[in-house]
Order: sequence, then C-alpha cells, then structure tokens
Amino acid sequence: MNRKKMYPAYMMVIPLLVFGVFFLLPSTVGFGYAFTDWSAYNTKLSFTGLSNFLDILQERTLTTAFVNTLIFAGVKTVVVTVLGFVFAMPLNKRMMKSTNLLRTVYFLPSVLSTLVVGLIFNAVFESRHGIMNGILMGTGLENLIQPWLGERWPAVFSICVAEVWRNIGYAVVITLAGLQSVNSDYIEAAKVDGASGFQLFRKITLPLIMPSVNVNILFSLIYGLKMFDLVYVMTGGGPGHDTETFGTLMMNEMASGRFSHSVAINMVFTVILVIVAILFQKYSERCEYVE
Amino acid sequence: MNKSERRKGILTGVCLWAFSIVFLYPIAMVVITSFKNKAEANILSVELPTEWLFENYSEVWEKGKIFRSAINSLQISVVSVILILCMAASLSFILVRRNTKGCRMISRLLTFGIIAPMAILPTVQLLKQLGIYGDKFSLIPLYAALYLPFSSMLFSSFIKGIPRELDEAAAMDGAKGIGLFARVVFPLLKPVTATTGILTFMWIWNDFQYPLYLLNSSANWTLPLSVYNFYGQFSRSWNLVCADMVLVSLPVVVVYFCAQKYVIEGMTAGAVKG
Amino acid sequence: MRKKSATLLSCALAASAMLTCFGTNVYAEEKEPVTLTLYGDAGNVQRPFMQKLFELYEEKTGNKLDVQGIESENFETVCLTKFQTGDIPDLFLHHGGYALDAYNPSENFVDFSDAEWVSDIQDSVLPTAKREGKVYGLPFWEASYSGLLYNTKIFEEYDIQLPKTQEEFNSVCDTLLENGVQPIYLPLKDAWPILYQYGMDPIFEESELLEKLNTNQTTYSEIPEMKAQMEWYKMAADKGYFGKNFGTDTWDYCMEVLGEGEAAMMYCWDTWLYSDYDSEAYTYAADDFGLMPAFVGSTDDGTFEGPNCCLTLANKNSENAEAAIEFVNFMADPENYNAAFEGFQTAPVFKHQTTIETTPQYKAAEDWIAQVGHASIANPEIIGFSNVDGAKCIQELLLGNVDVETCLTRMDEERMKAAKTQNAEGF
Repeated sequence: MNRKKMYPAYMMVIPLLVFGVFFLLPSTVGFGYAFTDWSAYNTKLSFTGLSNFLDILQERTLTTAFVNTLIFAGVKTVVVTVLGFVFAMPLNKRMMKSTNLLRTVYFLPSVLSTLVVGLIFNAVFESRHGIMNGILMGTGLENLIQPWLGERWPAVFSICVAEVWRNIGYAVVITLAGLQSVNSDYIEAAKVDGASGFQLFRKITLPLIMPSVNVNILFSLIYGLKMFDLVYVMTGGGPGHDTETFGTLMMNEMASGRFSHSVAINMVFTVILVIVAILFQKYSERCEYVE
Repeated sequence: MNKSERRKGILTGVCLWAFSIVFLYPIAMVVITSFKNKAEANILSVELPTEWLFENYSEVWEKGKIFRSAINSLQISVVSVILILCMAASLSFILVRRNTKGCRMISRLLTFGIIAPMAILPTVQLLKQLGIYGDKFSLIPLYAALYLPFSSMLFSSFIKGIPRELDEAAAMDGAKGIGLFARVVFPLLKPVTATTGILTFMWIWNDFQYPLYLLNSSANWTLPLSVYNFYGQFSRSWNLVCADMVLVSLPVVVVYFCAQKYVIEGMTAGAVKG
Repeated sequence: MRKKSATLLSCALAASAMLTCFGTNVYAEEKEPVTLTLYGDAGNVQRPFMQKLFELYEEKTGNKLDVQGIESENFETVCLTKFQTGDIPDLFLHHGGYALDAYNPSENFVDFSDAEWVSDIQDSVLPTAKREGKVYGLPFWEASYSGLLYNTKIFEEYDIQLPKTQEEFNSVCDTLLENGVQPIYLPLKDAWPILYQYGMDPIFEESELLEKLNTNQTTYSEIPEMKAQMEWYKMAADKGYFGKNFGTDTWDYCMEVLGEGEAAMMYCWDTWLYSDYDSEAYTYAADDFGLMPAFVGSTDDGTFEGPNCCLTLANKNSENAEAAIEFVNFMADPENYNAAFEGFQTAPVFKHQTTIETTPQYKAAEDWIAQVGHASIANPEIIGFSNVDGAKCIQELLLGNVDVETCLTRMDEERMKAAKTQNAEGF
C-alpha cells in the first residue's frame, strides 16, 4: 500500500488547524498591529509604518531589558547545564541505594509553579527576615549581606538563583538520560586500552552525551530568554526599571495603553528568539559534525 | 566494588544529600510555616511552630476560593492534555511516517512554536473575534497550540523508533489511517504518552501567564491565579499564603510522585534525540 | 489601605449644616438574585467598612458580590489591562482624578450627577468625586489626612520639639540618628509608599503653573521646588534618614518597624492607625503616634494632604447595570453607611454620618492642618501623573543610579509619554 493511503494527510488537519489559528496566527499576522497606532485611546487604527519601532528603540528601558534578558538566559544556561552535569555524573554511577530518591528530590522544584517559586524566593531574599541574610549572618559572612531585591545586581542575582533552583531538575534528568544511553561497553573497552578517568570523560562520555547537553542548552536558552513570571512576581521589573525583561516590558506597555508598542516589542523579541535559535541550530549541527 | 570505590560512593552520597538541602529547605519552610500562627510566620524558617494550626488550611480553603479554582484548573488541564496527546500523537505519526518535504516543513514550523514567545495582545484580539475571550475554556485550544510542538517532538522521536514493518504487516490486513494508528501504533506509544501527558499536565496546571492575561471573573480563576490574588490580599499573613501554596502544589506533587518513573525516564528518551 | 493612587482634595471639614431630605432608596425589591462583580485594590476591598457593607448588602438584598482584590503593586496595570480588553466589572473601586480618564468614564460608568445622594456628600469632599463636572462614583470612604506619622513617645524620650520648618525637621532627623533611631521608614521597594505627591501639592496649588504643566509649556525639571524636593530625598537617603535598607523596605513591614520603635516616622495618613495598625501586637499603640506635616523639601513649612476618597463606580453597559446602580444607592443610604462605618475613626464624608469619630491625631493637629493643609492636586490633576512611574524614577535616584537632574527628566519623560498616549493636547 502506498504511504499516502496508509498515512492520510487528513489526520494532520485538526492539529495543524489548532496550531495555526491559536498560535501561528497571533504570532505572525497579529504583528500587523505593530505598524498601526493602536492604543487604549485609539481604536480606529491607521497605518503608521515603522514609527512604533523608532519609538521603542529610543526607550531607555529597552536596552536594560535586552541586557537583563541576555544575562538571565546566559547565566541560567551556563549554570543549569553545568550543574546538571555535576549532579548527573554521580547519580548515574548508582553507587548508592538512594540514587532514585535523590533524583526525585532534585526534580521536585521543577514541579512547582513559577509563581510559588517566586513567592518562596521573595521570602528567602527578604532583607528583614529572609533566611538568606540570616544564613550569612550566622556564618560570619556579614559583609555579604545585601538588600537582595532592592538593588539591580543583587536583584538580578536573586532572580537567577530562583530560576536555576527551579530548573536544575530538568537539566539533571536530561543529562542523566544522555549518560544512561552511553554504552558501558565503550567505557570498558577504553579502560582496557588504559584510558584514564579524564580521558574517558573527554573522549567517550562527552561526545556521546553532547546531544542531551545541547537539548539542555537550547531549552535553558529559549525559556531563559522568555522569562517573565518569576521577574513579575519577585521584582515587577524594579527597582526602577533595573530588572525589566522583554516580558515585563510588554506587560508595562500594554498596561499603559500603548498596545501597538507592546506588539512591536513582542515582534522584536520574537525575531531575536528566532535568530538565537537558528544560530544555536547551526552551532549544534557543527558540533555533532565534528564528532 | 572495592573498598575505596565504596568509600567514594558513600562520600558522593553524603555530598549529594547535603546539597539536597538547598532544594528541600525552602519547601520545608513553606510547609512548616503553613501551620504557624501569624506572628510566628512573620519569620519564614523551618523552626517548628509552638502550636500546629491546621485551621489555617480551612481558612485558606474558604477565603482563597480554592475549591472553585481547583475545579477550573482540573477542567482546563485535563481537557487540554487529552487534546494535546491526541493531536500530537496523530500528527507526529503522519509526519514521521510520510517524511516528505512538506512534512519536514511542518516540523520546522512547529519548532517556531517552541521558540516564539506568546503574542499576548494579538491573542486577546483573536479570542475577542471568536467571541470566547474571558471564557475559561478558551485556554484549552491555546494550551493545545502552545504545547503541541514540544509534545510532537517527543512523540516523533519515539515513533521513529518503532519499525515501519509493523505498519506494513498491519496494512496487509487492510488497516490504514486512523484504524492503523489507533489499533497498531498507539498502544505502543504508552510510555511517551504518559511522559508527555504528565509534563504538559504539570505545565498547564502551574501556568500563570495565560490565566493572568486571559481570565477575568474570579469564577474562572485557576489555582495559581487564586494564589496570586490571595497573596495580594494577605501578603502580611505568611502562614495563610504558605498554606495556599501548599494546597496549590499538592496535586502536581502527588501526580509527580505517582508517575515520576514516566517523567524522569520517559522525558529525556525523546527530548534528547529531538 | 494602600493609597496607591492617592487622589485627594483638601477639605476644611467644617461640618456643614444638614440639608435636603432623603428620598427613599429603592434597593430591596423582589428580584432574581444577581451576582455583581467588583474589582478594587486588594487593600481597599479589605477595608473594614467595605467588608461590613458587602455583608450588609448580601444580607439585605439576597444578591451576591464577587469581590476581587487586585494586588496593590500592580493594581492600575492589571485593571487597565482588563478594561482595555473589554473585561469591565459591574462595580469598580478607584481613586478618581485624572487617572480615571484612562478608564474612559463617560463610556463606561454611570453618571450619578443627578443622584439624590450627591447633596449628602460633604462639600469639601464632593470635588474628589467629580471628573469634568460629573459625578461618576460615590466617595464611600474614610476622610483621612496625610502627612508624617511620628512616635510621640520617642520624641518625648529624646526631648524633641515638633519642627515648624524644613531646617528644624532635618535637625530632628539628625537628633534621632544620633540616638540610634532610624528617623523615617520609607518602603521604597513598593514604589507607591514614597508618596512623593504630598510634597507636590503646595507647588501645583498655583493653578497657573498646573495649567502650564498640563499644556506642556513647562516641565518638572524647570520647577525649582520640584528640584528642591528631589534634592532633599537624595540628601535624606545619603544621610541615613531612611535607614540602611530602604531599597528593600516594603509596606508589609511598616507596622512592625513603627510599632517596635525601630523607626520614628513614616509618610502616611491618620486613619491608618485605627484601620490597619494592630495596637495589640506591638510595643507602641496607635495613640502613641501623632501627625505632623510631611517635610520633603518642596516647601519650608511642610504640607498635609487632605482626604482622599476611593470612589465606587458602576458599569453602565453591564447586563447588571441596574443592580449595580442600586448597589451604589444602597451604599449611599444613611442607614447603611452608618452601619458600615460604625465605630470607625475618621472624618465624615457624608452629612448624615453619625457613627464615626475623628482620630485623636487629627484633633491634635487641626490648627496646624488649617495652616499648611493642601488639597491633593498632583495625583488627580496633573495629566499623565502616575505615582508608581514617578516613584520608580525616585527609586533610581535614591539607589544612586541617577542624579537629581536625570531623575526629574525621567519623571517628565514618563509623564509626557502617558499624556501622549492619552491624546492630551500639546503633547
């Protein structure tokens, strides 16, 4: 029987329709609003060309948001990927009975709602009664005490900590799966050939789990760039506009009634994400090729 | 295992458990604080309360509109998940098996769905045009569209591992299309279905952004939204806020514990190759 | 209460003669019970008199209320978003003033100008309920006076005299600092409690200046008093008047800090002491505090801000519009408001209010208020004013990210941007 008959196209109709209407349509055609003067006070739309884009490029906060978004995504990606690795390696060796339980524990934060995580870390970093400053005080590190959510860099740091805390579980699990797919025969063979621990890791393990590491990086990067909830709950973009991200910026513009600005930022943001994803795709293809 | 290796194992175990405090402490803090009185809850810590106030929970249950929100969350997540599973499974099946140029194009388009951020205002406009803005059920097709790409990715890589000879054999008996899929292939997809189902369930249950923008009447609120509003009103009563957080997290945590095998083992098998 | 959009107009508060008789309000007719949705600031819907009124209403009419308290920090943001996407509740609590224009009142809300209860509102309060000459909402609220709350016990302990000038005030702060007491608690992190509009009231009392600002012929940066106010904030922060951690200080902890005497003063309003403050829980009780004018550098003798009413507005396009109007009329019924406000300490808003008492702080400061009391002008009257947007600029100033000039320029930018969006003329 031919493939067309066996795998009829009509089975794709509903999924593609839902995806097309409820995701693609707003994320593509919907961007038409970015070229209008749509606002809360202006419901009769007229075409304004690129003026919205010129406006938002002049926004001071756009630069801050851009930098913050990159920092959040960058720090998250690096830390989560590395820590995922650090924890997955010993967990993979099954050196003790509690491995499964540990894995469960490490993944637990990933199960919680971002909102809950945000509220928890609000409490942790609260400067008056928060445990963070309490711990620093108790361990004699008084000089590290910070107004955590009250200044730019400490606030950025705090948000990063919360985001990393929430995401390590995923990274550990993905890396672990990668490690488990490494055939132990390879390792044994290499050991017989006299390879040392580090050589084993570099020559055998690392290349084999590179695909899962790349998955980790890609997801951390994409979701790190899209970060909104956590920032919204923890600082609301403050102090001042110091922790603003694209997500909070869109929200602010929308709330101030500048709808077309909000859509324009949304569009710029989408373009940036697509570029990042394409670049990453190129990179990961290349590193798989090298191996 | 020799002695030194065993010792190394114990040492690693100790280190890993020590580090697990980082994950457990904040959670324990919330659970314990949820039983404290207001004054004690002012300082969030794992110190045990002088008196265990279980009535915090009944207070939150009532004031936080938990029951109604839980029903909403359940309706939205369950229906969305079922829809996603049906759609992702059949779509990936066709995409993988046909594997034409068009199909690869569609796959690439789906990747865009993972990358692109939510276009809030255009979505709101769309829902208004369709006349379903503000309706809790309007979230269902949105979630379905949002998580379809990721789910398809998991399904696709799993289906790639199922030999096509199986289809051919079934086709000999005259099975094709939906029949072939439903009777022959789908039963084999159980593990990936469980994984995808649980992951999307957790994400939808926990999601805060869509309801924040798209739901209005508190009769439609989902649990995270009710927590957010509860926090707004009771931000000085951490004991109640904590109890609220526990109530909201409990269902996902329970689901996770019951089905963690699928979450942890199943998830990556697909994602890695995707 | 979180006076996010503190919108107030000062009133001389002379209890005017009782006038006009009341028509009977129709609210308890036999009808299908309806559920009315009400959106308001979370702090506002929690006010004891509001809670009492809600109960009373549900009891008497059999109707239900779906009250949604929206988190104060994002109140305007969330509400505007909701309104702009067509999600408009049957009833809405808002502080009125210019900020109300964003909600398009003439399109969305019932015009109550001809309602019987209009004549029952104190003359001094009535202007706060109006927008462009129309009464859109009922000022069912407390009439509080704002300034600086100070701890009288601490002042006595260090033998501190009440300051009459900015200079004297600064030396009060210095004395407190020398004795290890933080002079002022400023919950900077929440932005709105900076309440910088207090200092702006005397500046814009001059209608000519206000007019110029509202037609974009002048800016904050060009106004010396504005600059003086920002310079004072900066100086105060640098000298430690706001303590060390003001960057993370939140409104949630203000009771604790004031109550335990950790800080001696806070920008606030008198009624707060009796409606929010928990006298039982802390060392100092509500009666241990006094009210003095807010000294923030913009004027030499400080300034009080007059009452600031939150309005209850009814959605005229809702299918429950009729019930919503009845709800407002229900609130305006003397029997009901007297029941709801019973025992509350504040100045009266309605002429037939018999169950309330003014606060001791108000009584003690009455003469002083007559001297340096000002109408709330900045918030309700300046086009594009937002006490959060502006406060965010002040956050940056106090945290040392920008200097005074830049801070003012940014405040101007934010204001102009908002004015432009709202299609205000001249922007």
